[in-house]
Amino acid sequence: MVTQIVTGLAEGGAYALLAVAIVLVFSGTKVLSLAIGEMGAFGLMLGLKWDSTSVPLIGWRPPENVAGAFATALAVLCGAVLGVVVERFIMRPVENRSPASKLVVTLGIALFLALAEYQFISNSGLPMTSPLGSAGINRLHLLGSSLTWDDVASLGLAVVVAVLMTLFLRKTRFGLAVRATTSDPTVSRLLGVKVSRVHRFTWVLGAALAGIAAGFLSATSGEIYPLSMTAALLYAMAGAVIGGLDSLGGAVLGSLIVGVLQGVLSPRFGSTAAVGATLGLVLLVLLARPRGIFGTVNAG
Amino acid sequence: MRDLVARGLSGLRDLRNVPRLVYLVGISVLAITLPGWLAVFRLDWIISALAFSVAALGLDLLIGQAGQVSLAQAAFVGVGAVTAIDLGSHGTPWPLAFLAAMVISGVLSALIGVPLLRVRGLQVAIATLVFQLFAQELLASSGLVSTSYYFNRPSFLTADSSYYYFTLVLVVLSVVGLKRVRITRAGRAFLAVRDSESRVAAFGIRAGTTKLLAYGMAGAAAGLGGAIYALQQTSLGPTGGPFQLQPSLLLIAVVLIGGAGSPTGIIAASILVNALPNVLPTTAGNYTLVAVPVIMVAMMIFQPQGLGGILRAVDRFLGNLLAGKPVRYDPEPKHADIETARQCITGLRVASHRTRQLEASRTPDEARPLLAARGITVRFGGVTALDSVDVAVAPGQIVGLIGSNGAGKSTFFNVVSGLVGASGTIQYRGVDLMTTPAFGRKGLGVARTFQEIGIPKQASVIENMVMAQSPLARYWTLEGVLAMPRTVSTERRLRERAILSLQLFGLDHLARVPLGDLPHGTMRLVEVAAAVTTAPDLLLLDEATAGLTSEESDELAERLSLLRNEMGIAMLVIEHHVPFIAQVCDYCYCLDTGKVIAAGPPSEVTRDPAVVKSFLGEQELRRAHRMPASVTEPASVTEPASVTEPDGLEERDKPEKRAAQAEVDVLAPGPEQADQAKLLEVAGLCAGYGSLQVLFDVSFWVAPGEIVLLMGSNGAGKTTTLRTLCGIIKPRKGRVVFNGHEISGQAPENLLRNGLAMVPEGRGMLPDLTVTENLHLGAYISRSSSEIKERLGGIYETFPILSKRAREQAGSLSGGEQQMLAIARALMSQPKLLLIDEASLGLSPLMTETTFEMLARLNEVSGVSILVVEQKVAALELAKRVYVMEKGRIASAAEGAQMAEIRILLEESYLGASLT
Repeated sequence: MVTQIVTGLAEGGAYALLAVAIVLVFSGTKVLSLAIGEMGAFGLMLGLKWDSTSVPLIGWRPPENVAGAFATALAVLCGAVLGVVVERFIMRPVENRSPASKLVVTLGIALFLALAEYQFISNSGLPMTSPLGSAGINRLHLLGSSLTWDDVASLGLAVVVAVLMTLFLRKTRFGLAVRATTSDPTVSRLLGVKVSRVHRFTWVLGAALAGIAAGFLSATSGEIYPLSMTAALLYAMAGAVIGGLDSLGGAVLGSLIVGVLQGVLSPRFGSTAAVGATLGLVLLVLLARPRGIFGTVNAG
Repeated sequence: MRDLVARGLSGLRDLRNVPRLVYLVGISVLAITLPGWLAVFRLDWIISALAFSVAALGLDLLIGQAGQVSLAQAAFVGVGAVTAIDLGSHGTPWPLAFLAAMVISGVLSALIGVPLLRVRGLQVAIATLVFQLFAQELLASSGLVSTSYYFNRPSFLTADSSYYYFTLVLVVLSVVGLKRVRITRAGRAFLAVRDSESRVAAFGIRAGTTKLLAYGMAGAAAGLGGAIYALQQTSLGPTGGPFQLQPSLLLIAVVLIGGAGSPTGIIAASILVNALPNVLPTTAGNYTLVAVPVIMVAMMIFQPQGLGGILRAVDRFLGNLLAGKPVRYDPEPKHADIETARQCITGLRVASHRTRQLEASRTPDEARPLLAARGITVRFGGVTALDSVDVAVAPGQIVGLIGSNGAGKSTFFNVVSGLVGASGTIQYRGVDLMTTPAFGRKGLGVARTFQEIGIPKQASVIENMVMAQSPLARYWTLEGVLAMPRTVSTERRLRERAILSLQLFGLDHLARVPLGDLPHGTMRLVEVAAAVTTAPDLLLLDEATAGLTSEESDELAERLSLLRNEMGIAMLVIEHHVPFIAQVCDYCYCLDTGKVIAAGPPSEVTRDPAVVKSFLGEQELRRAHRMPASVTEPASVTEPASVTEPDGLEERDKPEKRAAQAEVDVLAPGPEQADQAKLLEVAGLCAGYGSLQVLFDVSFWVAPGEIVLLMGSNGAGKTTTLRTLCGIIKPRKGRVVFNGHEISGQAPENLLRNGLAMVPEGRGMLPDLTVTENLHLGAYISRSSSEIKERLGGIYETFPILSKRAREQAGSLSGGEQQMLAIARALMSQPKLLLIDEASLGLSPLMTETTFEMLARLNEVSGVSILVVEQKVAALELAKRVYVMEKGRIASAAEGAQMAEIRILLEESYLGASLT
């Protein structure tokens, strides 16, 4: 049981980074972004492809032991660029639509990126080792279970990012502006907050984080393929909904709950039952406490 | 059949229908000849695309018509496919297998809908997405998804071309069936639930059942699509099932690209998404697939109506070419003479069996009240919206409900129609209404209108009128789909009554116009007409005259009296326009902050001192600005007041001098002088929302250091004026010059940077943030933290109550404290001009007085100019100048001594001529 919980925590830790990305974007823009996983994955897949060929134009090929790190760095960069593009050219024009239709727009973005990956990068899985280079796959033994440093790093990173971001939101002037925008964009604008800047900030940061998350998640499963990050995103989204869509700490905790649920239930009752339990939990939260455990705003 | 042909031929006489016919014929020819010239493997892809289009059509019903954004449609396609395969492989004949697939998918979909009944919008999307994840795991592991199960086609379907025709027939049947759903009871209910779920109970519609029906129908369509797919493939491979994440996302893409409510668009989109990438040569096909989401997102940004919208636009364009532009309808109600009206009422009466029966039961005890509400109490959180309110309505009586904003009038309506829970009792015709569920009350004869239009704006006027009669549409949904005789006769009857009711209000020429295209006043009349259609016993009218001209309002009064006299309909009428109450009502209640403060005949109530006070505010406001500041100011505030005096104002005129200057302006406003003295000048401002123009040529100005009032009743355009000044709404015409700079059309972010600060309507709290954080945000544009700290200190000394609450969340403050915070926050930026929207809204008279006094003092001490939007006449004491708005225009303006006249004018307009 303990072993399974630890394994589950490791899995949840990988979702947690993605969940933090979801929460960041939701806090800033009230958009539940289903594109964010694929926005992180795009650069990673590009990097992995170039790992095996070589970077076009400059012709450089990253050495084996930093291949994963190179791809992850590219994922972060691509994520940030995509964040700017998506916010400015897609989300801003649909700013005044209903939350559900904005969610569908992000689905369209995810689908586009996935199909572009399929078409221009790879139509099958690309192997991914570790964003930490060769150090990441070393194992350490904890409470009778064996974890990789990747697992530990992703969970640690998620916690650190959540803590730093929470401090940032509470203590800084711009953080205050982000929280005001979460609460009421129109009033914030009347107070001089440049809401579009808040939107851009959260999209860029969220997508860059998703790049890191993609690196760790694909290292855990050993490969990445089109739409795989969107599938992972659904678990992260479940975690974020459970924890509260505007609470960074809640996102981490919710993801850990989802991870443990998978870790404990999958070996005994199969993965279907584990997903079913996650669904049940999400429904329960939506019905009993729609703002999640730590959240302050209802989804939708 | 002959009927149909005759109708088709007569339809052709209108040239406008020709393009539609041509393209229908074109598509039919294309569809029928397709197997003749398309390679077999390509035809196969077309068949799958058609199968998916059936599922997409169902999803369109769920998303477009019923407003439930489900992302799990592919899961039910999977359920249908697996069911069909399972049954088929065990030798079940295909019709049974297909039927079972539809039923099982439909029932499962409705079951999944059950926990979703209590969530909405984004939450539905989240939950269905997680369900999709679960279902695809479940289906993939079910064992049925393997090549060992075969569903062999019957002999007549083995050829691909015959299976294609088979599919085509099923698609056409689905389109026709779903179209029938849309135009009968169920479809109207879907639309109503989508547009105003919280209100549909007032139309006698059960939101829950309706949504489940929509889920069920969408599921059944998905099941049929899955069955078609299964029989085509004959077995499901272990991977690439139709229920995976990608097909699920593509289904959404199909619906969005196709466009809500357009079967042609959706089928075309399904072929584009599911077939084209495989039918085209490899490279082109691959690019097509990548193009799909691009088209989808582009559609969502630029053409939310999808392909269907484009088709309709082309249709309209060609129709106009052939038949000329359609005659523009007159969006205003026609004048219907009293004789016609009487005939309409007679018609409505004859058509309504129920009312006749009721009349028989009603006569014996005329004395007993029709509606008797006792001790109605409603609390929202800590706020008591209604405090043991007693209201009675006798049969055939018209009762008025007056009171200022936030008095609880609409809440009382919501209690009677069951939309808001309350303690207390409501006896209605001797029945305890509290035990009747909300959707059952319309059937008992309680009809109502809403303050904002409560009926779907996308639907046409006549559809709305029929929808309002939902409790009378007694037939099964399936009967409606199959167009059984009972459905046809019921629908005809409902339509006849709808037309009668429209004629009664002079609206019959607008029957086919989408409700949302009409001016606001006309929409309200439609809503009244819709409420009357069922011949209710009790009609609740929430501000029926807003947006009507005075002639129209007179005519409405006449119609209502006629309805009461001829049909015995009792009414409860909420009105801001008190003369209307005096015109139609027999009896009248006045509410103030949730309590009944007066009751009696209208002429008495409007003279009641308590009512006058409630409407006009305190008669005697202590006039802080007319006395030396130190005299009226409480000791604790005198000192710090000088601290808050902004640095920037030091070199400005001292208050006394300024006041003197303002006085001169008022007495002799020479043109050049006035020009110099204008801090804010608004000239010829026009603005509105969508097709609705709210402001017409609004002009006024504010001098430095002055308090100016903008008054008027609800809907006069005051708030819109402020919103336009702030940049929330873009002006259509006119100029706004502030401090010598043109600021009209600037974004709201620049408001503070220009030196204007806004206290928005409803105070604009950021409820999750603390008081200090709210104040910090007030000075967001200032980057110097020491300066902010200093200002914060000043504010806390001026508003000691806020410093006590500094660390509490703004949302936990009382209304009065929130108003303080809102004003304090606006002052944090040290503005030159403070804009305040409804300073007294929701405040007690005492608190209102305090707020006004505080504004006067602020103005006195710091010299900040203030533009106040108000309803309460008491605010007149504050200002040197006042503008009164009516129907989006500045109706009158006054300064100094003339303001007494304005006061009389306002009192008349609020309380009717009876007061003077």
